[in-house]
Amino acid sequence: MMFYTLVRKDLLLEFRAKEIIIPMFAFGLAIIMIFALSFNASQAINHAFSPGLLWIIILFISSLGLNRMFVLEKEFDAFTLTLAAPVDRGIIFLSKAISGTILLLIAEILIIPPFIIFMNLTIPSDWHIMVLILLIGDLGIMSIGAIVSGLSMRAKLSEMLLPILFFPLVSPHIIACVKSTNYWFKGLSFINWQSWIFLMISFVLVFFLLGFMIFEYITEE
Amino acid sequence: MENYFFNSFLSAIVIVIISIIIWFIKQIITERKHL
Amino acid sequence: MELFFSKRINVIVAVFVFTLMVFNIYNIVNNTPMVPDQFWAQKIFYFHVPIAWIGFLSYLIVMIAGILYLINKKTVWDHLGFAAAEIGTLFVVLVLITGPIWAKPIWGTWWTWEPRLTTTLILFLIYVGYFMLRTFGGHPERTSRYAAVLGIVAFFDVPIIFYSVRFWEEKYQSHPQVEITKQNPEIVLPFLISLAIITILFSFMLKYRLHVLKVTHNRKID
Repeated sequence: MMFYTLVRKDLLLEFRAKEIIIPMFAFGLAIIMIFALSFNASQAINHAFSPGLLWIIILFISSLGLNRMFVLEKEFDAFTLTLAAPVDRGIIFLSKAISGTILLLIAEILIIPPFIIFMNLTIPSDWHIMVLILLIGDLGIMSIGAIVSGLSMRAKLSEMLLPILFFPLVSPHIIACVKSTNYWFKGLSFINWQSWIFLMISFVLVFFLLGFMIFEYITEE
Repeated sequence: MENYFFNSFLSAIVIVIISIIIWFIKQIITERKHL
Repeated sequence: MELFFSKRINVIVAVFVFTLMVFNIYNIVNNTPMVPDQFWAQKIFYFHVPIAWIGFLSYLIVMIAGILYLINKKTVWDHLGFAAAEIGTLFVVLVLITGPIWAKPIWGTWWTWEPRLTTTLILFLIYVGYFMLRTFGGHPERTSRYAAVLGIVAFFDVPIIFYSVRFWEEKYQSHPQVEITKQNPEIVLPFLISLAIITILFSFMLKYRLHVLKVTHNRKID
């Protein structure tokens, strides 16, 4: 029950202020622009690179989003107030991870149409599989992201510490996401690349579980 | 050609040995500083 | 508190370890077979691989120390985690240096995205973050706690990293070092000896580092 309240709180805050999704979208757009301008590549090259590029963009905007998600807690010491409530710390972790996933999904829905247009991509018709890949991918990103944000939130130079910790830890998951996206994009049937999806799911399970158990040690004062 | 291989081996092992020796020296210096 | 080497037994052990290492090098140089296409460069394997294994073992120790620290908050576990992280990272750096030195004469390039080497690189990057966290994390006891968490998270990631990198590109399959145990005994025996000696060296380094951490920790409190 507490979980839904916390998620609602995070999402409501966001929808009023929109100060997470808009910067994520703007940043993503900027990266697409820079890439298109720097490379000015043929459609064939674009098609080859776009799965990797998409996930690089998602990774960068996640980094931005994570920073902003936890900065809100730092201001006004809101986090201490949340902690004062008798809530299992693991639930706080889950709510952060899930609300982060939802925000990231929304940002992705916004950024993917411009991505397709500016990269001149032709995409396969079964786009619902891509939605699944995005969903599992985002869950993985946000699970490890919430753990790492918790660790770096109170540090000096937290904006620098977060990516340094976050990127290496999430890299196997990103490899799997890129692989899956690549195979889907080329139109290969699911059986060929299901092992990558399983890897992504394992990542999500491992770090959701770990985060749930370990978050109380991050939030002790 | 063979000599090239030997140089690789030599440089690798020298790097390993020197790093470990430097590590020990560093520990000794840190210890003495605090006493 | 006194110097580590003012204790007689430590000096004796140090000399012993040193002798063992000298013997190890002599053994590698003289008693190992010359492999046909790799000649001398192949012999790097006799310390490159043990150092890699011990590096990973060290990171396992960081995770275990982290779990123990979170459970009962005793400083000794924090120190063990930190010491193991440092020595592990030193060993991992040595792996990342000796790897390319070995690869260049054999495969012609300094670096390949071979699964084990890539996993080692990612692990190294994670631990760069670990030391940044230790330095910039804030209150000492909070830093200790956070470092413990990171040590646990990092090691849980290791198998996932390895598997993802392994199936990443077929052409980067593990370099043909083949299964160690299936090699001929003239290779296996010196390898095992080297592994044992480097493990002993590692334990000694760990013990020494723990001592130094304890001394400096007490000093800070005074």
